Amino acid sequence: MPYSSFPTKRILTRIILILLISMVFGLLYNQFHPNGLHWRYLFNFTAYNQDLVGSHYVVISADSAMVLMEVKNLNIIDTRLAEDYSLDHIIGSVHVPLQYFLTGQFVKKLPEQGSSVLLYDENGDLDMLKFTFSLLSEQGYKEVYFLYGGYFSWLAKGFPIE
Amino acid sequence: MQIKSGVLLLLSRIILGIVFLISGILKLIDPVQFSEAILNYQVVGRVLSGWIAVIIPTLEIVLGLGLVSGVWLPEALIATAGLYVIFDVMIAQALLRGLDISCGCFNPSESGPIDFFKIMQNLILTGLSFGSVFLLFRQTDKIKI
Repeated sequence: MPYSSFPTKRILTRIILILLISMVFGLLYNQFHPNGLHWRYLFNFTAYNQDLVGSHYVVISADSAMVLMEVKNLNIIDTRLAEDYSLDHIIGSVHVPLQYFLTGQFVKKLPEQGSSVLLYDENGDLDMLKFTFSLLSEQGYKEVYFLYGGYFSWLAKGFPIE
Repeated sequence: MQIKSGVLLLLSRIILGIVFLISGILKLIDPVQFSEAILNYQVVGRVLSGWIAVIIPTLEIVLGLGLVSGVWLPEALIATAGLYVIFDVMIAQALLRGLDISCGCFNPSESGPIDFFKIMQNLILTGLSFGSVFLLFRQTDKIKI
């Protein structure tokens, strides 16, 4: 039966339904995909309340990181891309790319649980580092340090790399 | 004339449907990579890019199925046209801002910057989708909606 007027309401309703169906299937697929985005990433859960999780993070400069490495048994994690890490990285750092944190695969690559961890990326994206902190604190890492300014700041100081 | 426009509509929606199905499936292979490709456009933040990376591939597949099968065709065509407009705007703003990024339009793992070919590809598909909408609603007195 042809319509005498343009069925705007019906079309809009169906388009909204299409969007909702796509969202539901998309979320379901993402949840079960091995390389799917971690749900914390989608819901921006970054555990800002450090007291709540019983862990804390500290943003430190390259100078402080250098001193800390000498006095503490610090596990250093490089979250940059694999090609960047293979070119050069902070001496003694382990490569756990950000992608692993986004998909939850990071657990198998982490250092000894409970140890102090220094995280760095390319230029110090604090939002992403806070996101990784929320995941690390869940895994029992109580002392997490972020390198302010990322790898660039370390390079700028001329500190040792390999 | 009606037969010709009917054939044109069928051909164009099949083409659009197949493009969307393939594109959606390719984007589903690596959601993280697609999320990074969206982030490269520097329009939305990380969280929103994640949501877009989750929704767009399945949306493309759902629309592709609708276009190919003819189920909810007007809605599928209008949504397709709207989606292509958004893609065009994103590409245009990336070019205007001088962003040296890969398009990620069809396959998020594709390398190489946005070039003339990719722009033309998107514009042709946009034109095809709008043309299909026009053809469909010209025929509303002949077919059921």
